[in-house]
Amino acid sequence: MNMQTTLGEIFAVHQIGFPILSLIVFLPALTAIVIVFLKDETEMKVFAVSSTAISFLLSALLPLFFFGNTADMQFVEQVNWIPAIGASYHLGIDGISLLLVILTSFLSVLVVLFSWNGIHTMKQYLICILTLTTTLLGVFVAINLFLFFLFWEIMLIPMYFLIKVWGGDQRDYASLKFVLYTLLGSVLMLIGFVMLALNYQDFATVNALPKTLSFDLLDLLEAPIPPDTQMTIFLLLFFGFAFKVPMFPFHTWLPDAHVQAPTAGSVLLAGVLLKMGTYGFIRFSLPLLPNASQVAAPFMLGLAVVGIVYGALLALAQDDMKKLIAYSSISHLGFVVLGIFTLTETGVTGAIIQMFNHGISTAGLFFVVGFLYNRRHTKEIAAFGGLSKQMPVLAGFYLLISLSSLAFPGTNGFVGELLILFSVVEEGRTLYYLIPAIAGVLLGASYLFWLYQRVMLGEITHEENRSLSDINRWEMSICAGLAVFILWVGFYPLPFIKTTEGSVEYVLSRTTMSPSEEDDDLASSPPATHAGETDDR
Amino acid sequence: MPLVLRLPMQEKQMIASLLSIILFAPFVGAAVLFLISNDHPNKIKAVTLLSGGISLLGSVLLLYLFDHQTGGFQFIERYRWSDELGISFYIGVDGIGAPMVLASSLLMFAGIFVSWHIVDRLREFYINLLVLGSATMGVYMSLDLFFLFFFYELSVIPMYLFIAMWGRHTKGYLDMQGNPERDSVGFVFNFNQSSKEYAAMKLTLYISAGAVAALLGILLVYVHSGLHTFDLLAIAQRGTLSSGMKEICFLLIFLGFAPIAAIWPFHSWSPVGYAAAPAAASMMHAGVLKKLGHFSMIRIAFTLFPEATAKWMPVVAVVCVVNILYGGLVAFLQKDIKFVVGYSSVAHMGYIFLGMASLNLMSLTGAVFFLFADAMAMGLLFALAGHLYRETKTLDIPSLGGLAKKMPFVATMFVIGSAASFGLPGGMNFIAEIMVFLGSLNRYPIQTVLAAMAITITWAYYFRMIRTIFFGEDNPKLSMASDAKSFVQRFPLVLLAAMILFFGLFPSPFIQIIQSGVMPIVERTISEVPDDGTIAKLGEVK
Repeated sequence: MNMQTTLGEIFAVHQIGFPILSLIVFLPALTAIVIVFLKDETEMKVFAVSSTAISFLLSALLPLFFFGNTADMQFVEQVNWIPAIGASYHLGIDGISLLLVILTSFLSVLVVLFSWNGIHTMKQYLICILTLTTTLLGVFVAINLFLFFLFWEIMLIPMYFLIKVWGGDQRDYASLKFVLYTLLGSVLMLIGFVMLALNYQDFATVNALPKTLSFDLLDLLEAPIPPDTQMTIFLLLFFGFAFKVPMFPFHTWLPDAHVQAPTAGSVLLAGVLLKMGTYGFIRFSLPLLPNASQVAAPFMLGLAVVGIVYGALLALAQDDMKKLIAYSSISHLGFVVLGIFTLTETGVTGAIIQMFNHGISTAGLFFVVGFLYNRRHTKEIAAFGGLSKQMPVLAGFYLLISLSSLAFPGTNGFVGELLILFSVVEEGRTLYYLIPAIAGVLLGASYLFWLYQRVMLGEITHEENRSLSDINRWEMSICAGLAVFILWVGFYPLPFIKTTEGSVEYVLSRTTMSPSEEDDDLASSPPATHAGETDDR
Repeated sequence: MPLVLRLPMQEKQMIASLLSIILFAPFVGAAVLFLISNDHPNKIKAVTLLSGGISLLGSVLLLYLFDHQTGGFQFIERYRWSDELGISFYIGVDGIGAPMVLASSLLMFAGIFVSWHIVDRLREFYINLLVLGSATMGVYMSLDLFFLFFFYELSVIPMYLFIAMWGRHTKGYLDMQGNPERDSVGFVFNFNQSSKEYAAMKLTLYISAGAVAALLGILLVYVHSGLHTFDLLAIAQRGTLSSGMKEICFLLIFLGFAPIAAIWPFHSWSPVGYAAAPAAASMMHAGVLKKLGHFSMIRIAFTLFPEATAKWMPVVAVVCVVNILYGGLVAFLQKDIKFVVGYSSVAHMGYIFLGMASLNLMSLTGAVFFLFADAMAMGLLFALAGHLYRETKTLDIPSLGGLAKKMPFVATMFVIGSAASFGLPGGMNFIAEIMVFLGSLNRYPIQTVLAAMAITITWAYYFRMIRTIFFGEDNPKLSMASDAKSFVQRFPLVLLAAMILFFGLFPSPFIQIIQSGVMPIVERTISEVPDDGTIAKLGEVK
């Protein structure tokens, strides 16, 4: 029996009839170009919001045509681009990326809505937001590693400017730190990619394949990688992804970046950008480097639980709302990594769901901070207190978002965290990690409730807070949009989980194969035959 | 030895003397300029534009007509010059020369616009520019060693004049070194180290000293090849040099061209030279003049002495890392825009050498692509530095600040240029870098990893520079500074930025052309070197 089947491709033309992914990805960037030539601020905003909304609606079409029970790449578009270095314009999504694409396009609409008023130099701001959206979406739909890296790196530029130009007092320091930290990781990742491509080249030369050099994920998956090389590549990719997640001890850029970034930047940073790292682990590390993933799993789990507890403890100690949420992100992303490296179906599914959930809930928390900041121009926790009397609607939504973030049953966070904790128990070897993980859950509840209590409950301590107005209709629509997803996933997660099934199964079919088994496979199959074709015999 | 340097198919060349037109249009323009007095600036500009434009159109056509499937040398022209000495005027381009000809004429054309505002001795300025442009193109076309050397030397003279006549006194170099004394060059000629005379003299001495070694190498080849000809292709095919002599000649020629290619430790003239030169000259200098070094190494040393090349390249692979790391760290410490860009250019040369050292199709193609990519990025950055200097009268980074509001167009272009230079995906440099890495990783893993990590340094100093210049605190003294507004100011910037983005996103046609030129050189090196597996495999990529 051969578990190592190759992935098929279902092209967009067959599935939906038009290149939907390209539209979703590039619509915001094209709008950014249009905005360059516009003069009127309202026109710009209308253009921006409608393009992101169309992009979101298109991505909402995806699940309707999506086949959840297969691991094949879907809605695929492929055009040759730079054959000399094996780069092609190759887009496609599967169960790993579907939810993240929807999440990204959804948050981009909210971010534009949030920025409706009170932004200086609106034109440049919208251009940054829109190009950032395009690159973030691009990361999740690119199947060619070269293209993936292209989006991954270009993303830094608009994010840098968002922090640099529209950020807080120490924005210079924070923006540069953000760029350099993530860059250091990504150049190492690039070397890892190059090694993967060279490995494929060896494989292709031996088997006399027509294509000699390829950065294409589907091609790379066919070429077996010797265990030693796997370890090296895993380490290189690890740096790229771990800086992005960020895993302990690579996390120090995150609180700075969050605190200084404008609300829109924080939302996209926490909501989407951090997922690029965990996405990278599931998309590349697990299927391409199964042996190394197994070997490294205990270390990864260790780092994950350290991150969970460490992030949560630091979150408890913060005076600044954004910093608190930033540290809570480190803790929550620890859960995602924990789920991934249990290497069980439950765990990886939970990780994917939790990536989506964390995007929704943390974005919500940052929006709440943004609403308060717009009114009071401070993020100090001590400056607030007793706001629930003045802002009852916000208090309600904020409570829901907090509950989602601390994984309260009935909200989306519960589903994800439960799956992950369940997988830790299920996989007997990882049982030790349950204790710190549970501690992380408890700490999470404490810092989030404590924050809620200090900001919303009690008596009003500052006179300025007496005149605060409750959230307006725009702001309410943002909260309502988030609430829909929080409750939907919370009460009826099945459709979401279903989409991930095929892909998760495939990824794990690669990792659960023991190294020796894989070697036998290779030895027994004639070199010119693809792994997938041996199924028939 | 396989006959790999294919000879051209004459019948395919549709325009009989396209190369001559490209090469001599600027020379003719320069000659005509002598007849116009400086009282008629418009006439001067018209003549310059016309001759530069013809050259540019010609080189665009050249690249368009270049047949990458045939490969080899194309558009060959040959006129006997001195039969007694075996010298002929012999020009032709292959996949390596053709893009560089385009780079030269592009930068020359952009340089004409960048220098539009010059009042002081305008005629002489443009004569220099045209001569410099066509001299560099001459090197990229020459197939005769004598003329190659002639054009090479010819290109140094305008550079000297540019710096000495239209240059500026530099600062920052001294501050960085913490050393107000004079170095040997300054001492001998009694120049202050921050004077433009010093920069001009240092540049000339370094390049000339190298040129002497290169000339010696070329003469040894001439004498010992037994053919009594300077014809490069004939020597490559039929030359009978002993292997010891080949090695000596290789070293002489490699070291001779090392200074102009700014390989460590022969690089120190180059940032000073950029900093002191006027904008158009810096563009030409960083863009194409410096690349004459790499080009000549590939054209002469790699082609004639494949065994010696393969033997010595591992040494280069070590030195190039010093270039990358040292150049990057020094750039990080600079306070002057042109010094930052200049040292980053020194660092970039390291990547090119890494590509050259790996000697396989992928990496060498990457290196040649890098030559072109770096020319565009450096051209754009130095053009912008010129604009900033004109508007603010300083290039001192700490005293600039908040310019993004005053000059949004320049700021945008500066970000594009920097992004291209630090290898952001989407620009040309990135394609080149990744090709170099792909080709080098198996052969020189440690060097490649170090080189890749050094990209972080590059990002750091470019970001810091952008941040301070365009987003730092407003300097009230700069309130008069204005954006690039007119067509003349914007055109060269847009032209170069468009090249960067277009070929960064669609590099394939370009890569095919370069590969057709690199292929024979790689094949030759492989066929004469014991196979170590890696090279042979990469050689099969077609």
